[in-house]
Amino acid sequence: MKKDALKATKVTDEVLIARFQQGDVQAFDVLVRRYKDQLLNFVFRFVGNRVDAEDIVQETFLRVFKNKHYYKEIAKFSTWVYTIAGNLAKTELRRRKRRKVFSVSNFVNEERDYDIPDSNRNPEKEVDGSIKDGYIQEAIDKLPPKFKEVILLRDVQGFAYEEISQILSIPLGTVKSRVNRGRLKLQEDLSFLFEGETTNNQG
Amino acid sequence: MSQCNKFKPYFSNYIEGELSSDIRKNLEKHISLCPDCDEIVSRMRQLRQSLEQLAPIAASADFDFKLNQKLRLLDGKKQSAGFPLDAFLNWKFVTASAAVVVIAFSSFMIMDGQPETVTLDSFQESSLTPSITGQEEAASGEEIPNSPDTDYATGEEDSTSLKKKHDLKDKIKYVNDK
Repeated sequence: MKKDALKATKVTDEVLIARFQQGDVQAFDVLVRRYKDQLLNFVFRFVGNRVDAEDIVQETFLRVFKNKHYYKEIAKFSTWVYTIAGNLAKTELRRRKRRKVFSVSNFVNEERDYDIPDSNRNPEKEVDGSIKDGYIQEAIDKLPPKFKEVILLRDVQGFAYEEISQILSIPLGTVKSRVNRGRLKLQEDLSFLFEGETTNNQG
Repeated sequence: MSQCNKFKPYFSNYIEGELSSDIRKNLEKHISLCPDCDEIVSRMRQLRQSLEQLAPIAASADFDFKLNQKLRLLDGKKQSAGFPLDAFLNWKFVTASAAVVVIAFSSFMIMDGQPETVTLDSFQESSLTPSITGQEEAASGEEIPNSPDTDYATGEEDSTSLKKKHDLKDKIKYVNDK
């Protein structure tokens, strides 16, 4: 009975975390089921690596489990859990950067998780969906983290600006301005993907 | 060019339909005259759509299993975090009971192993505590069959207890009968 009640979509995340705070571990399971895929996609786009992304999402849930009493009802659960995941993802990127600095003399060529075709490709030709995704991910990877996080939260995850502002603890105006700058940068880097379609949209 | 930079900060709000009508009209006017900005706005629209449509990935099959393992480990740690106190309390309890046993046993050994000195010197003392002496000697008497020679000798010198004497007599009989 209880399990079925928790499964119902009507039960909000906030009710679930409140139940979990009172010791109902099943409520935690429901939260994991609700959030694991969307968090995984967010973190995967952030760090560009599936294995690391899964580790980070697992660590996110472990922190939710350990620190459940730090969650306060004033914030949405999604805000809280995305803040945790985002911070862990940024830490991972910083860690990689440090590692890269130390190993720069070895000229390490990092393997990519996705396939990039050779550079003499013809942009005019039809681009396969997964290859296109690969280009987009490559461009996302190049973005500085402060632009990357807002673009992912807004355009990939579909969060409202208000909530992004809460997740990242930055003013609303800053979020909007970063989203704009991030999009400007991405459209520039990916101009070869969209060039053919531009003329159709004019007018 | 400066016109372009003036309008660029509004591109995102424009494609999301969040501009006030005044700014929107000015921007649209600029775009109609500036092919570069028009192209940028168009690419931004397509980019947004492409980002929304990025193929989602699903968690691997063993995601839940791994998470459960980590949670169990965490739970274990939580329990072991309380362990030192428990262990300390247990340790105290064990030590205390061990001390009681050791004291009891050593008092046994003292009474039993040094009857000449202790019991003979404190003749009156032993008569003051007849029950204890009796118990101890009954206990030592039980051990006699295992080592009849030594205990026999010890028991013979111990003249403080009539009961023991009786016991010894019985044992002498027992040995003689054998």
